[in-house]
Amino acid sequence: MHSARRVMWWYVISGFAVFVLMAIVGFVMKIEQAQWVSYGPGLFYSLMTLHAMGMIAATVLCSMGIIWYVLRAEGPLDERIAFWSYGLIVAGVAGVIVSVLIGHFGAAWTFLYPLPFVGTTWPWWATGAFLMGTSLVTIGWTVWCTQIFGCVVNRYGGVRGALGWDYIVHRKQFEAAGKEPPAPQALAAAVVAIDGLLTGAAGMVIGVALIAHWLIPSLIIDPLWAKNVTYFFGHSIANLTIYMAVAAVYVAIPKYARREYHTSVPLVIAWWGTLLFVATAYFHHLYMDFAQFRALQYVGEIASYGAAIPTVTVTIFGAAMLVYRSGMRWSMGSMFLYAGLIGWTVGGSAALLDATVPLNVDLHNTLWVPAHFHTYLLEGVMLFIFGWIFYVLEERSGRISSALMRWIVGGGIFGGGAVFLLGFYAAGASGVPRRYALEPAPGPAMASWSSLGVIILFIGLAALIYEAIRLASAPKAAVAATPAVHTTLQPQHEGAAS
Amino acid sequence: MKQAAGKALAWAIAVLGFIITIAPLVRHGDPAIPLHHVFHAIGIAGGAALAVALMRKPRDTNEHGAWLVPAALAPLAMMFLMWPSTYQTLDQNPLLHVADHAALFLTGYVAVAAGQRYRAGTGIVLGVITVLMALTAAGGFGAYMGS
Repeated sequence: MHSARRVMWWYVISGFAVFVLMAIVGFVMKIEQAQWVSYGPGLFYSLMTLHAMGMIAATVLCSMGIIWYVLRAEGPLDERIAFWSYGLIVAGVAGVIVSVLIGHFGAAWTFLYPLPFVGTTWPWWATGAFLMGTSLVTIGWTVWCTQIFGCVVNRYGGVRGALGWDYIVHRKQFEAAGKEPPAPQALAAAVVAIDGLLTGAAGMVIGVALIAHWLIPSLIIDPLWAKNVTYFFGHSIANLTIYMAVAAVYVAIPKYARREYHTSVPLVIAWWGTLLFVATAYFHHLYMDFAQFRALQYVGEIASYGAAIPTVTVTIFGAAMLVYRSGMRWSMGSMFLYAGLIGWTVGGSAALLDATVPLNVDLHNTLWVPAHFHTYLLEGVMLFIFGWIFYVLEERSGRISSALMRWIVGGGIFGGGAVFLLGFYAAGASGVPRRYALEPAPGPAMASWSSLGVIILFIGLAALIYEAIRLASAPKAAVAATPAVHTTLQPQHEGAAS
Repeated sequence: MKQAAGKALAWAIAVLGFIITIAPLVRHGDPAIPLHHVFHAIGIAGGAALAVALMRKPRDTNEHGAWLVPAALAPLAMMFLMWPSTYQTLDQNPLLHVADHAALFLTGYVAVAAGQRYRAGTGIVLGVITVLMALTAAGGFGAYMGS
């Protein structure tokens, strides 16, 4: 498992570093909107492009590292492939950084055709660098998904086994054969790998199409088709980060609660729902596109609502019940993992409101949209990632953070985060449009509150980093660990695949 | 019985894909671009199906990482083999057109065969992904060259 930790830490530390840098970029954007500074819309839109792509890359990298590590306990995985995938993604991110910081590319992460090519204020090469960078990220992602898919289908006897089909549909024969259903984290990995491969495929199709148009401007692409493929790619990959990070919840919360989180019929069926809804919810991005096929709008509405059911009724409720009256050991790790469930619920609720067509008419392209996804990316996915980092550090060192440190970190991350997000929600509810460098009232006032929230959040983040380094620097715990932390992951297959 | 039926279906799709591959030799004139992309997808599915039909039981369930390179590159190559500015040249030269179709057929074959060599179980899903990409491209990639 030593090599598995090495892979995990490369992914998680890189992702965390990108997260911190992108958080600073986001703060610089927020203070422009707050009118504390004024550097102009050209730079604002470049930073907005970088911030979005970078944050998704950060959460994707961290979550990929976590899933890789927990799956390594399920079966052998070749770390060379993990590093190839990592290298492709990092190269892609570098391409995006060059396109934005040097080329001033500013068409947003959506690169929505024909926007990156029409009336641009950036040079021709910057568009190509951005598209090729994004394509490299997509290829790296697809390679990783292929490896994860291969692992789960071989571990559990095919796609049916990996998705728990026979466990549900042919239960008697399944149990008589002495088979095991996939562990919750393996189920999550299987669903992510399958939807991830579809997402990667869409990313490659739109990537090549746009690169072709970049090289052959006379080539015309159907814009409605381009928007569908772009949002299938973008929405799904962002959505999948939550379902990847939840593997941390499945593995670590049971350790803190000293209760098993076992695979059950509701859990398996819930993940089947997630498999379908992640792939079909993206239509909610095209509600305002009158040319879109009407039937697909209904699919988007139903899938968006449907996506909440397995999440809330099984994962979130299940985790809450696991913790209830368990004598849960509260540490930095368990605090973040539990709080992330709350952030996911709040962000998801806001998402459901936005996904409701009559409300979307008012909320579409207002700050309500970034409000909801900042909630479940910052106060959901990132909290799961922080929780996992501290779970591993606590397990390794046999130590936990003091209550005072937890209050400082929690106060900063949760309190500052809440103030930051409330500014978004209030502005969105007031109709302030998103993606504006210069916002109409009450945008600047709300942005000022959000900026204050970010400052508080940064204090919490600094304390978090300090505490993580302190735990990482502590000597490794002896084999007989203190009661503060519990059993390590028990690998089923020792030794690296390579 | 199920396996035999599966192999028979795979061979049927492979033959259909082969027919699509050589179609420019016997059929002149060009269908509309979206329909042409659908034909390409059938050709690619034919290559993938041929790999399924020829599939043997894997020697082991381990990863063989080197095979992931062709498996991952095949779908990308498939996209570039449909480069729009080659359409006119290919339409005027049936042999070249068949060669392009044959290369597409090969990408389907490689996606599945290399995927299976990489790790048992991954070949078929990579083949499906490759065909889905080709079908998606029919929707709007290079729908028409503007004047």
